[in-house]
Amino acid sequence: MRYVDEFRDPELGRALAGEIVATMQPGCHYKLMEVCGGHTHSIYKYGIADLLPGNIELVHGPGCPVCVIPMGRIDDAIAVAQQERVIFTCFGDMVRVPGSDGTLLDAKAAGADVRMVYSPLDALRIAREYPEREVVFLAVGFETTAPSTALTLRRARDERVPNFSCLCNHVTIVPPLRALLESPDLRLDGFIGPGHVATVVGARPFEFIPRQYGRPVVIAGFEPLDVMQAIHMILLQLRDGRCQVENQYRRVVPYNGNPRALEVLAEVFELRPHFEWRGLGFISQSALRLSAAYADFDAERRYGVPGLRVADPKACQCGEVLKGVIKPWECKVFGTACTPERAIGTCMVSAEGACAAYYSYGRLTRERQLV
Amino acid sequence: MLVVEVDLAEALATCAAADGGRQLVQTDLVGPVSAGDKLLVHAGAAIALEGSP
Repeated sequence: MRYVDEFRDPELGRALAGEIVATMQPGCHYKLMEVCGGHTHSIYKYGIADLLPGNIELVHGPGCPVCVIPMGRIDDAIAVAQQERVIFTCFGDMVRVPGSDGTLLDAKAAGADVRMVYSPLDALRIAREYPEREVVFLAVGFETTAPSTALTLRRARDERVPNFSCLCNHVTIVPPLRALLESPDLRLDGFIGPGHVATVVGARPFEFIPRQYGRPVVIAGFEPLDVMQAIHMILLQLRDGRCQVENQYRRVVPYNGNPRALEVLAEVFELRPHFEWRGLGFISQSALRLSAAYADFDAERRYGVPGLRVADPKACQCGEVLKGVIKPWECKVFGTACTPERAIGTCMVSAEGACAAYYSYGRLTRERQLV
Repeated sequence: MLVVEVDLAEALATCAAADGGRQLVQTDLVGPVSAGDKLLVHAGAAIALEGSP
């Protein structure tokens, strides 16, 4: 299949691994963050980490949209789902994310009408089919998924579907990256930039990283050779003393993003003054809410939500994993009390979570040879 | 996802995933598409036409 097979060629992968080793400076240890959970999965699914020497440490970033949702927002979602006449819709991952007193799946078992959908458009279809019910869509995700929510809300407004609303938890990627770069806990040498977010926002918003923090960024695709080429490009920048944003994923990512997507985002959403991130705390202007023009579709205004801040369980170290401070296998409950079947933390729930990736692909410990 | 059928008036397309599953996709953000085009789809909306950034 075009754009897939040529980026999974094992011979090219081995050759690229050789190029990576040849580009490394003797005795250097490189710590690179892959921002997006999709990259984390590619790295372990395709065995990329095994092709790299131990001097290249891959640190997993905060780019898993399900993982970063704090428990209080799940409690808010459950409170809305439990209201009379509500059909509560969400992506499949979200039904298993624990709140302080259970999951949306638990709420469904107790009688709430919770339904999994593939897209907000599916939720809008349900609203049309059940005009006597109130249909709420739980919106999560970065700038990649926010355009779909925005387009659907625009359709709901144009079609005058009054029984549809959205509980918005969309987040933006730049503020948490800035927070990580300001963190004294973490020393990073470069970033594998989020290819799909960049499809929407472009590569330009990441220019602050080389300019203000002196770290190279390479926007990357998600096939194994994409990720390896991005690592190679970062090492070339470090070797050559360059520091800039480069775009490895040029077959999809325009440097300035998708103008139509940016336009609909600006129309439907506005920035929240602050938003709580799991593990990262409150970050200013890091999330979206519905703009005044779409206030009638805002489930937070329609229903009112508890809005309480809830601390993570003490055993769960998702926060440290999301900040790249520890590896999943260093968490006290990883693979024992916390598994994909019975997750304590969000990083084990989501298909893009680092813990789920480590667990699914057998990364229970980590030893690699230094070069 | 591969575009199978297009509803230009509604800016919608029926698309096939690699596993053969079909999904209705909003195409407003990538402009008119044709059967056979390959789209990058997130949450039911196409955010890019692959190969033409």
